[in-house]
Formats: sequence, structure tokens, C-alpha cells
Amino acid sequence: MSILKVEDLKKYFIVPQGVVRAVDGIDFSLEEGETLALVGESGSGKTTTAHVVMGFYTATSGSVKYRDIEIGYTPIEKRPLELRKEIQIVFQDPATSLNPKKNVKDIIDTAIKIHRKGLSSVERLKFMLSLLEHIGLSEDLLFKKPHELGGGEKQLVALARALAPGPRLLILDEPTSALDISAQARVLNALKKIQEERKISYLLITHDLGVVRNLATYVAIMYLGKIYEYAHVDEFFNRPLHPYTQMLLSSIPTLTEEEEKLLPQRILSRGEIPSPMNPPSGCRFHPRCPFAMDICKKKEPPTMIIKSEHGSHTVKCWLYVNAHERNLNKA
Amino acid sequence: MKAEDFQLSEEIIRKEREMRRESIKRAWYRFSRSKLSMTGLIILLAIIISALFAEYIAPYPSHAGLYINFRDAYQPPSLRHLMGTDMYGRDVFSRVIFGYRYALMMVGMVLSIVVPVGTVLGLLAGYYRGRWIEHLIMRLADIFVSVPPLVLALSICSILEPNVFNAMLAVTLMWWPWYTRMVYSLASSLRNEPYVWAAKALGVRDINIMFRELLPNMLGPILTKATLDASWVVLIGAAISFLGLGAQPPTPDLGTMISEYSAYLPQYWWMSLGPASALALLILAFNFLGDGIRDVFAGE
Amino acid sequence: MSEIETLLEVKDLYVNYKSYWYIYKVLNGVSLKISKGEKIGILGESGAGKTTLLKSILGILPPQGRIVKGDILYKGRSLIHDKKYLNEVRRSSIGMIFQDPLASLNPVFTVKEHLLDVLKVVYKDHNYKESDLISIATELLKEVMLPDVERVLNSYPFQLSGGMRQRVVIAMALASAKELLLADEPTTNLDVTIQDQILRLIERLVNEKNLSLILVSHALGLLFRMVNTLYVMYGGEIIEYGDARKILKEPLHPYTKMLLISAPRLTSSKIGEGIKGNPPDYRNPPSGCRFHPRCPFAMDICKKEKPKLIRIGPDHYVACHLYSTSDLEKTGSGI
Repeated sequence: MSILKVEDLKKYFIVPQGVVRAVDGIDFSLEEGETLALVGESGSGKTTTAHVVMGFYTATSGSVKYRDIEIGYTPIEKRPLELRKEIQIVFQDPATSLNPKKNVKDIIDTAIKIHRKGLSSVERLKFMLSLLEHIGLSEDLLFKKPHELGGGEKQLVALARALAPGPRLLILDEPTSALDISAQARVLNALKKIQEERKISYLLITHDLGVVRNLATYVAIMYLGKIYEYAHVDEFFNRPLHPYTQMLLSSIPTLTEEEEKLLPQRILSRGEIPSPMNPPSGCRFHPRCPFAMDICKKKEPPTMIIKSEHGSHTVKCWLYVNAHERNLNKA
Repeated sequence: MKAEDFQLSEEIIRKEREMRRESIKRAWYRFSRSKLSMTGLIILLAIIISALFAEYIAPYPSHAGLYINFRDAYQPPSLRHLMGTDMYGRDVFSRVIFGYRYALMMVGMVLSIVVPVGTVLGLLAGYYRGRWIEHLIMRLADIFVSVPPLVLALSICSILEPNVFNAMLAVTLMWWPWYTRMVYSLASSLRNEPYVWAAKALGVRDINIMFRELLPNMLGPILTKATLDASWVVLIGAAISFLGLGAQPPTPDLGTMISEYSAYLPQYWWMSLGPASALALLILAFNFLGDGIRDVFAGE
Repeated sequence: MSEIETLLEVKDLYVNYKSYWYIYKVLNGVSLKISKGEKIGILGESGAGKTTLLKSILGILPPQGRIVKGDILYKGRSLIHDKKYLNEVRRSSIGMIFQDPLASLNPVFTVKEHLLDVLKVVYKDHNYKESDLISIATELLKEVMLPDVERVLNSYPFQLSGGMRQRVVIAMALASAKELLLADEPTTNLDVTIQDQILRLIERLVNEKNLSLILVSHALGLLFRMVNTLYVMYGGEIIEYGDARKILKEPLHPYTKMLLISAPRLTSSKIGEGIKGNPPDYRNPPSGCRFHPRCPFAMDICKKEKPKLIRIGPDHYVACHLYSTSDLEKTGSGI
């Protein structure tokens, strides 16, 4: 049983100018102890997806199942405490996700008090200290306020708060994009260690493929509310199929020649992601795609399953539908 | 409890206390850095102490209320009577000191009701934005705000019996919506902060989100406004009394005194100058103090 | 390097900030040099003093900031002591691309008004008519590859996408950058595909116009792609500099080494542990080498003496006591 299963999820926002199709029919599933990275540029709908799973928004249609329980239509306020305990989140910017007026102890204690009832204050404290040690924070920080901490420390405190209830699914919303390299490495290492030891599942929202490489088991590439490619992380970096994925990869400035070699033959980035208010017809990537064909403008590509040694690799692109079928589709 | 546990908790309590002391020290440093706010604090403390111990500090405590001694009437300021005497021969300075009692009482009573009530209502309306409770509270606030404050106060005082208590009631009724509105706008922006969402994800109850997550982040503006408003309360209270709808003679209320003595202007100018400058001093002190409090919270 | 004409030289620069009763000693003896047509990069994490350095060069430090020592020379003449020369250089030689395009454009003015403001200053001696300036503005926008120039000219910043805004900012910088372009984290808030486009644009413009470039960033990959010479900053000091490729292959300073292995790679899922601790507190910076409290190799001397930049190889300098002693081998395979 998957820990999280999302089927044909749609989330539309109605604004004065029209309808924003932030998430427009996506499917994915996440297994126990694994990490799924939702990757995309701003406006791709990855954060909206995460927030629907959290219950910050409710779904427009489709389903979000946590261990076979439908949660897509239950806002966070209506979720039972047992469910809130199971799913926790780490936000992008630790400067705003920690209450500036509280010290580290109070921030983490809030979480422990709610989810570990019946502990005495000393027991709570011991629990907190072991948690801090586990993720590599010194207990000297206990009485510091967020503004007295460095960026990496702040994010680790946010991580400790999210871990305190004992979640099984952790949503990581751009967990390192507000951090410096050295702080990012600390947070990534802590996340890896925690997953190894506690077998927690991560839903990782990010635009940074370097982070994906380090943390993810599976990768889903989102563009304008749809998933265009999905694969195991090794397969993904060895054989990126969708032109958008290739463009993303070849846009990354590399450090070494080995990295350079790994990247697909350079597909120059062009154009910008259009507004999700009126997405392009057919394949939504076609205006930026160097390989766009007639059919791409007219019809949405089917999801093709390509065999790989790491389970299914799916891609939503007409290039991988053979010519015969394309013609049938045209007719 | 095991010995080591005991030690641990002792240790933590000690550190916690240390940190609290440290942050109070820092706040005091930020406050005391400004000479103006220190001046305000010192003046205010002096006023509060003299009002509390008026019986012992005022040179002629018996002059506060009904007292007549025509022999000493209309005396200009002198060493014996710092602010002169009035038409009944009462020492104006003594009466001013007692007058501070009423002014401070008014401030204390009004703010201690208005600030908590206004804040709680504003928090509810702001946090439950879009629900019926928001509309109820905010429309009610709109109604109270739409009547000019002094008119509202005057009409209450004229319907009810004109006395100090009713004047306070009137000021209280016209004042709470301003806090509600301010806290409402703060709450409705702060409630979208990620730390509030994180609290929701943890299952923190709404009431705790409002009071433990949101409120501490609003204390700065609320306290600053309260201090600055204290001077307004004094002023409005005096205005109500001046118009004869608040405290009645011979109550030594500053506003009442100014009103009574203004009839003797300009010949016996000292009579109204005393209470008027006392009023100005109090207002100034509150304003200086407000600046200092703002600095304390801004510096964090 | 010195045979080629030196364009800009920063000499032993010390900059302090004053805030309340604290003095933040930020820049602590920074020196760098850029020749005509050279591309240098400044690598450092947030709070390393990179932006302060750029602001000092342009003479736009906030009022709390003060240059306490050192000098900045442009073509051999001081920019610090000669305000008139500074203005002239700013007007007709240097252009700067700021970090956040949304913050560096004023939301109530159109792109045209922004560009005209700049151009009026740049061409103030030319007696150009407004229509001339508008045609220059149009040219600039075409140069940064903005489509539909007419529409962009009359747009307000919020009507443009992030990538387009950054192109406008680049156009504004180009107006005055005849010799030297300064870029402060030019792509930080942009998506990776847009970042790639903007970098290619800057690369092309710099090459076509034979500009010198100072690129400031915390992104390793970006710097290695764009520059030849790299300066690594930590705690307001230059701790290592030299040929960018060389530093990437054989970093010398422990900080550079740790930073390089901390960057996630696409080729493997192993990364360094990161660097424990926080950047220095400038109010009370560590004595000696400012990195010593976080350095795994810190020795006694590191606490006492500030290491000098010493030459290790051709085009490679490092400021670290590990290298000032005679035997270099013991640290060669350091981390």
C-alpha cells in the first residue's frame, strides 16, 4: 500500500481575471520510506500540490489518499489529530516559518505537547534534547530566538519541530533554496540520515536538480499543472526523455566535466513559462519546445510508459508515440 | 523524579530565567537609550506617585473638595501657594495633584477595558476572516466608529447621570473599535505567515494560535498605541468634564477645574494655568513614553 | 597580468558599518584587480561582504557605512577621494546589475521612464532630444533580446515576467557600462531555464562589447561558467584567488575545499557535511584568521595572526597559515 496516492488531482483557483489551473490532473504515488521529488519552475503547480496534501487547500477534483484514506477534501482544520501527526511540513523560508517571538525550546515544545500527551516537562525536555542531537543541533540553541540563529540552524529547528510529532510523511517545500551551500549540505545530510533511520517518506518540492540527485528516489517533472515525466532518479539522470526535462538539465551550470557529460546535448533554454490562466493548447510545453510538431499544438500527448531497469519511466510527449499511432491520432 | 532529571530541570529553569533576564535587560537598554522616553517615564512615575500619595504630598489635602476660606481667595502664585488659590481660597496646586488621581484613574479604567476587549475582538475577526464572526464584529465596530467620538461620549453622558463613572463608560464605548480595527488588520495579514500554517499542521488549537502565535507579534503596535492613546483619554475625559458632563464640582478633576476657573480669565489667569499645564505635562509624558516603547519593540 | 592595462584596483580596503552602538567591521583589507576585458568572479556565502565590496566600488554605501582605510583606483585615479571623477566613471564607464529586479525597479514608473532617467544622466553633455534618447532606449532593449520593445517600453515593472524585468535591469546597466559591468547575484530569484538565458545574454554582451566583468555570486556553477579568475571571500576577506578552473580542481583554503564538496552534484548523491557554525559576527570578529572558529585544521597561530595572501602556484594565491609553513605536502591532500 502506498503511503500517498494522488489520482487525477485538480486544483483550480477562481480569481477576478478568470480561472487559474494551478494543478490540472496529476497522478503519482509515494511508497513508504521513499522520496518523490516534484520538480518544476515557479508556476508549475508543485507547491499547490503539496499544499493540497497538507490540507491548506482542498482539491477541486480527483483524489488524494493517505494510506487509502481520502484526505484531499479535508481542510487542515478538520483533520483529526492522528492524521496531522502523520503528515508534517518543512517550509521554504525558515525565517518566516518560525515564530520570531518564540525561542527554540517553545517552538519545539509546542509540537511535543500536542502529540506526546502525558509526558512530564522533564520527559519532554529529554525528548527534545535527543531530537536536537539527532539532527545535529547543539543544545545551546535552546533559548535562542530565530533571529539569533543562522539560516541552516533555523531550518534544522523547523525540521525538528516537524519531526517531533513522529510523522510518517514529511513534505519538504523547497527546504534548502533559501540557504547557503554550506548550510544546505547540513540540512540535506540531516534529511538523509533521518530517512535512513526512521523510514519516513518525503514529498520533496524543489526546482534544484542537485538537491533531487541527493535526496530523491523518484522524480516527477511538472510543467503548468501537469506531470510530463516520471522516473527513478538514476534512470532520470541517465536517460531524460522529455524535451522540457532536457532543457532543464542543460540549463544547470555544471562544476565538473563528468557532470557536463551527464547532461543531454545542449538544448538551449528559450521562452518563459506562460500563465496558468490560459495554458497553451495541446502539449503545454509546445511553444518552447525545439521539437514541436503539428500535433503537439492540437492534442495533448498521451502518457507513454517506457521500460527501464528501475520500474516504470513515463513520459508525456508525442516524440515517443510512434509515427503510425501519431497519424492515427491525427485522423 | 530521578536525581539527574531533577538536575536537568533545575538547569533548564535556571537558563530560562537567565535568558529572560537578559532580554529584559536588552529591552531596557533600547528604552533607556532615548533621553526623551526616559524623561517621559520619570515624569509619569512622579505623577503616579504624587497621585497615589496625594494626601501626604499635597500641601493642603483638605482643599481638594468642598472647602471655603474667602480670606485666602484669589491669591496669585507664591511660595505658599505654588499655583495660587481659587475663588474659594483653595490651593490650586493641591487640587491639581488630586486631579491627577482622576485623570490616571480614567486612563487606567478605560485602557484596561478597551485594550483587552478591542484586542480579543480584533483577533477573532482577523483570524476568522470570511466567517460570520468577522462580519458581526467589524460591522459593529464600523457603527461605533461612524459616530464622531465626542458626540457619542456627550450623548451617553447627557442621557445618563453626568459623573466620572459615566464619562469613563462613554470613553470606553467609543474607544474599543480602534483597537479592534488595528488588531484585525494585523491578524489578517499575520495569519498567512508560514509559522501559523506550521502551527495548524501541528494541530495547535485556534485559541492558542491566536494568543500564543499571533498576539506576541502584535504587542509592539498595541502597547505603543495604548500609551499614545492614554494621552487622548486624558484629553477627552477633560473635554467631557470641561463641558460639564463628567465629574461635577467640587470634584478636583482637571477638566472640571479648567472649566470652572476659565470663567475667571484673564484676570485670575493662574487658576486655569495650573490644571491646564498639569494636563499638558501628563499628555507629554505619555507621548514620550510611547516613543520609547515603540523603540523597544522596533529594535528586536 | 600587470602588463595589460589595469582597469580597476581595490587596494587594502577596510569598510565599517555603524548601527546603534555597534561597529561592524565588515571588509577587512580586501584587494583585487581587474584588467581590461577580464572576467572575475567573487564567490562567497551570504554575509561574506560581497555586496559591500561592490557598493564601495560604486560609492553607494549606505550612510552607516564608511571606508576607513584603503583606496579604490579606476585607471589609476582614486574614486574615493575624487567625487567628480567617481561621478564621471559611474556615468560613462561602469554599469551595475542589481540582485532583485523587482526591488531595483520603481513600481510606479514605466520601463521607458526608468531608461530615460539613466540615459539623461549618461548623455547629459550631449544635448540629446527626448526622441533621441528614446531611440537609444529602444536599441538597448533590443540588445537584451526583449521581444515587442514598444510594449515593454510602456509597461510597468509588475506587468513583466521575472526574466523580462532582469533584462530591463541589464539594459539599464548597459547604458552606462562602457568598460566595466558589475553584476550582483544577477539570477538569484530566477528559474533555472531563465537563469540560463540571462547568463547567456550577459556572456554575449560582455564578449561583444569587450567589457570587463565582476560577477558576484554564491552559486559555484554559475561562477565557473562565467569567469576566468575567481576570488573567494569569507568574513570580509579574500581568502583565496586565482584561475577559476584551478581553484575548482585544487582548492587550497579549507573553506573553499569544504564549500566545494558541500555543493550537490548531479553525478553522485554524496555531499560533504557542510560547515558547522555560522559566519562571523562582524561586531566582534574572530582574531587572526576569521575562519579559525569553523576550521577543522585551526592551529594556535590561526587565532593570533591574520594570514597573508601567498602565492602557491602560477595564478593561485591563498591566505592560510597551513601554507605559510615550509612543507606544503602535509596539506596537499588535506580534506
